[in-house]
Amino acid sequence: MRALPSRRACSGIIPSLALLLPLQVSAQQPSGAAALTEDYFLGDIPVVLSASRLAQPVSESPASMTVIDRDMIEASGAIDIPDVLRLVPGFQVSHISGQNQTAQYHGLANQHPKRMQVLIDGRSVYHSAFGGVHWDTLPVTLDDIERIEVLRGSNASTYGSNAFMGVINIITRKAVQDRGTSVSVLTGYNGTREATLRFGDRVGALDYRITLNGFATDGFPNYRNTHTYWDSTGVIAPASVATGTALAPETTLFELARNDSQQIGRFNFRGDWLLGNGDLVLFELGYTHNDRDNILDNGSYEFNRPDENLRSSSELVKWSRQLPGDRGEISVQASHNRFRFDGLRTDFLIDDLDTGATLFNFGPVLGGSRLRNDRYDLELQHTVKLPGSWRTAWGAGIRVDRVSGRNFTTGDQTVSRWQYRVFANTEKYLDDNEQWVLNAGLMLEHQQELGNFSSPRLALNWRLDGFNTLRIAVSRAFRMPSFWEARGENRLYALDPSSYLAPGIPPYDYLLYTSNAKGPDPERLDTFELGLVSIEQLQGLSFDVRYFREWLRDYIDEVRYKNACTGCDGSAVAGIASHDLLIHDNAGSMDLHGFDLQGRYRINDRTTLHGAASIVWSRGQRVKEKDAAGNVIKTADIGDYVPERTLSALLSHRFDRNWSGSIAYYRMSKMNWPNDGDRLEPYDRIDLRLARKFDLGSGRDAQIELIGQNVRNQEYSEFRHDNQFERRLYLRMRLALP
Amino acid sequence: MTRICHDQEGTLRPHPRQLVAWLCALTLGCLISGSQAMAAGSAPRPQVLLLKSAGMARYDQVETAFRAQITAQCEKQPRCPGVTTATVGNKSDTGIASPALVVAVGHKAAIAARSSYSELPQLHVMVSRVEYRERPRASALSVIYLEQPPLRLLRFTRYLLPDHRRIGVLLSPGSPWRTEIEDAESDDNDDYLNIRELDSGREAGRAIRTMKQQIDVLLALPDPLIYNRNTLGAILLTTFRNHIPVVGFSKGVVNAGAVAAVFSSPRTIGEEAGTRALALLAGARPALQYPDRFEAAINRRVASAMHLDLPSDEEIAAWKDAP
Repeated sequence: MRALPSRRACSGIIPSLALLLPLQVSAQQPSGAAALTEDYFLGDIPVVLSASRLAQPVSESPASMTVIDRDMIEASGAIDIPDVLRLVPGFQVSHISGQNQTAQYHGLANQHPKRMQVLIDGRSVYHSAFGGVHWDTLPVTLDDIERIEVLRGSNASTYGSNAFMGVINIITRKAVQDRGTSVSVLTGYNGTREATLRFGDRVGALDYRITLNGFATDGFPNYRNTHTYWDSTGVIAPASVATGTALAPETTLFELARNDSQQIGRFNFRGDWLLGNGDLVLFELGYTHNDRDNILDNGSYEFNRPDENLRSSSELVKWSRQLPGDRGEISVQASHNRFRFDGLRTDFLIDDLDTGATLFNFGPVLGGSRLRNDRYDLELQHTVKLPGSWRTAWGAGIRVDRVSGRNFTTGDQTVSRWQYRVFANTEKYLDDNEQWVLNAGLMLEHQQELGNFSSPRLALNWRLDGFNTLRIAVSRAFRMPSFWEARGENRLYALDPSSYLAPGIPPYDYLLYTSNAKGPDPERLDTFELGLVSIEQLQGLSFDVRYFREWLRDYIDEVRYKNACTGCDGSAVAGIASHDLLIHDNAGSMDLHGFDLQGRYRINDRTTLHGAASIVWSRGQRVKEKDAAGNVIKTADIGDYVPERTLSALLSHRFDRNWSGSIAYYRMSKMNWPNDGDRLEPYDRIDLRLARKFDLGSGRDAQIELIGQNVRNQEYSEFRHDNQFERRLYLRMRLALP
Repeated sequence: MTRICHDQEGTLRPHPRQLVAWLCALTLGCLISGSQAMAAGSAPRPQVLLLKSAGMARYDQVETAFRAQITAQCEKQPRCPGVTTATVGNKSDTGIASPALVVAVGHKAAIAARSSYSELPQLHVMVSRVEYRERPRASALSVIYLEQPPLRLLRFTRYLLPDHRRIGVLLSPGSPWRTEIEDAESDDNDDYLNIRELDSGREAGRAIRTMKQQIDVLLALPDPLIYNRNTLGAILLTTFRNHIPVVGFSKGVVNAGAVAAVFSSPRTIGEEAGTRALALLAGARPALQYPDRFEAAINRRVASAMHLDLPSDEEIAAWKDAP
C-alpha cells in the first residue's frame, strides 16, 4: 500500500497552482497546429502577483518587488514574520517591547506603522482602528508561509488607500503541501518557548490543514535607562538627577527587572476544495489570543502597567473559476476580521491617582482601553485578455470598518466607515519584439465622510537587452486617517507636576487625546520611480536598483494645543485648571529620495548570497505645538524619522545533504522613531544558523536548528532606549510524520 | 661542426661568424613562417551570422555559450569563423554580405532567417520540432530541436524511478508524439506504456484518477493541448494527491511541481550550436535532430514529500554524461 505524501516541504508545487506563466500556449490551440514557442520549454522567470494582480515576470512588474521564498525564510533563521522583513531593502524592523514589533518601509513608523498594507492570501489585515498591523496577533506561523512578496513603494492603484508606502503580501502554503503531521518546538532566550502542531489531510475533494501554535516569551529581561532622564515611558529615575538633564549615551542610570511577557495561542485552518468542474474554493479561518503582562520591579517597588489582552479572529472564502475560451478567470472573495483589545489602563490610572502617591505609567498604547474593530470585505475580480492584447485585472469591492469600545471615541460611540472601490490594472506589449511593456492602473474609491479618491499609476518597462530592463513609473496614493486619528478621544487624566507631584515624578502634564470636528485630511503621496532590473545571467547574479522620489503631503501627526482644553475634560481631580489637547492634524510634509538595491548571487549550487541596501535622503517639518487659537508655537524637523542607510546580507550554504548553515548581517543608521519611540544610534547585528536534517525512514524526517541572533552580543536599542537587544540563542526542532 | 669559444670568464659563447649565420637563418625562418602566416591569413575567414530573436535573456545566454564554444574549439582549428550577431527587428546592416552559415536562435529568428537568407546554409536552434514536421525544401537547413528524444525521456524515467515501470502518457488526438513514443518503447521494451488520448487538458484530472491503478509515473510530453498554463496546476495537484510522480519536459514544469525533467537550457543549446556550426562549416551534412546535450532537474522537495528515493545530483550528472 502506498504511503500518502507527507507534509514535508515541496515548494515547487506552489507555482504550479498559482503562477503558471511559463507555458505560454493557449489551451484552445489544436496540437497539430500549435506554434510552440521557446517560452513553452524555457519559461522559468520568477513571477509576482502583488504588483498589479497580474502574474508577471519581475522584469515586467510596474513596481519594485522583493520576493522572500521558502528557502530564504528557512535560511534566515527567523523566529517570527517581522524578522524576515529585515532582509528587504529599506525596511526597519524593531521590537516595540518584548511583546510586539513594528516594521515599516522607509521609516515614519511608530508602534502602529500605518503607511503599509499587509495582506494574507489577499485578505487585508490592516487595522482601521489605529492603523498598521499587530504582528503578534496574525494567525499564521512561519511554517505556514510559502513566500512573501514585498512591494516597495506605493501601490494604491492595486490595493487601494493605505497601500501607501509599501505592500506585504503573505502567501500561505497550499493545504495539499502539508499532508501528514508535523511538530515543531523552539526554546531559547529569556523564557521563549514555542510549540506548533500542524496536520494536513484530505476529505473527498477538500485538502485541509490545521495549525495549532503556542508561543510565550518573557520579552526583554530588564529595563535599562541609558540615555535621558525622562524617557517616553515615564519611569522614575534617581532623585539625584535633575529633571530634564540630558545624559551621555550609554550611561546606565538604573536597571529594573522587567516582565513584558506574553502568551500567544494561535489556530488557523486552510481548506482547498477542488470542485469537479475545475473551480477552486479556498477557506481560511484564524484565531489568535495574546495575553500581555507588564511589570517593572526594582526590588522595592513594583510599577504595574496594565495587562493587555488581544483577541483576533478572521474568516475568508474565495471562489475562483477559469472561464472557457479566452474569457479569463473570475474570483469572488469575502472576508471578515475582528480585533479586540482589552487594556485596563485608564481604570488603573484613575484609581491610583486617587491615592496621590503611586507612580504610574501610561503604557505604550495611545488609547482605547477596550475596543472591538471589525472589517467586512467583499471583492470581485476578473482577469482577462482584452482585444488589443491588453491583459487586464479589473474588479470592484465594498468594505465596512467598524470600531466600538470604551475610551476610544467621544461618548464611546460606535463608528463605522463604508468604502466602495473599482479598480483596473492592465498590461500591454507595445511592440512586436516585446521590448516595451506598458502598465497602467487606477483605483477609484469612495470613502464615507472623506470623499472620493483616485489613485493612478503609469509604468513603462523597456527591455534594454535580454538581461536588463529599465522601468519608469509615476503614481499617486492616499492614506485614510485611522479611526483613532479621525475620531479618537481618550481621556487620560494626569496631574500638573509643578503643583502636585513630588520631585522625581514623571512630568506628565496632559493628556486629552481628541479629534477636531473635521478630522485630518488623508495623507497624499506622489511617487516617481526609476528602476533597473537585471535578471540572472550565466554567472548567477541578479539584482535590481530603484531610484525614487516621494512627496508626502498632509502628513498626519499629533499636534499639541497648549492649554486649549479648559474644564473640558470632566475630571474630578482637584487642582487642574486647564489641559493641553493632543489632536491628530495635517501637521506637515516630507520629501524623500534615494536608492534601493537588492541582489542575489548564486555562487554555486550550494551557496547563495542575498544582499539588500537602501540609502534615503529625507527632509520635512511638522507642527509640534499650537496655542489655543491655533497659532503655531513650535515646529520640529522630521527628516530623521527615516534612517539614511539600511543594509542586510544573507549568505546561505548547504554543506551536504543534511547539514546547512547561514550567516546574516544587518545594519541600520541612526533614526528617530516617531511619537512613542526614541532617537536611536546606529547598530550592527550578525545572526547565525546551523541546521542538521535527519532522515528517519518511512517518510519521517527531523531537523534540529541552532539559531543565534546578535551573536557578537553588541547590545543595541530597538525602538526605545530601554529595549536593549542582546545576544539571543534558540534551539528549534522539527519532526515530520507521514 | 660547430665551433664554440670560451670567453674570458670561461663561459661558452658562439663564434662571431656563427652568430651572423644564426641571425641570417633566424631572419630567413621568420620571413618564411611570416609569409606562410600571411598566406593563411589572406584566405577569408568563414563568417557566421548569429541571428537572435529579441527581448529575452535566454537569447543572449545562447550567444554567450555559442561564442565560448566556438572559441574553445577554434584553438584546434586553423580557420576559426568570425561571429557577427544580429537581432530580429533590428534593421541595422549586419556588415556581412554573404555569411557562410546563418545560425538562428529562437522561433522568430528562424522565421526571419528563412525569409531573409533562404539561399544560405542555416542552423536553427531553440525551436520546436512542431515547426519542422514537414521537412523543409532547403537542403542546407539544419535544426536542433528544443524537444528531447522520447527514448531519452523513457530511459531517464526508468533510471530515476526503476520501480515505477508503468508509465502513463497523456496525448492530444493526432499528436506526433504517439508514434515516436511507441517506437521508443519498442526500442526499450522494458517499460509498459499506458497512452491515453484526451481532447483537452481539462480532462486530464479525470483521466489520471481512472488510470491511477494502471500507472506508476506520468511522463509529461510537450503537448500544449494537454499541458498548458490553464491545466498544469490541476494535473500536478491530481498526480500529487494520487502519489503519481511526474517527469516533465522543462525546468519550468519541475519548478511547478513535477519530480524531474530533462531539457535543453540556453547554455546547452549555445554549446551544441557552436559545435554543430563548426561541423557544418567543415562539411558535415545538414540534419534535423534532437539535441545531444541536455540538462536534468530534480525537485527534491516534491520527491521527498512523495517518499521517492532518487539518485544524488552527482549520480544523475554521471548518468547524463554517460555515452
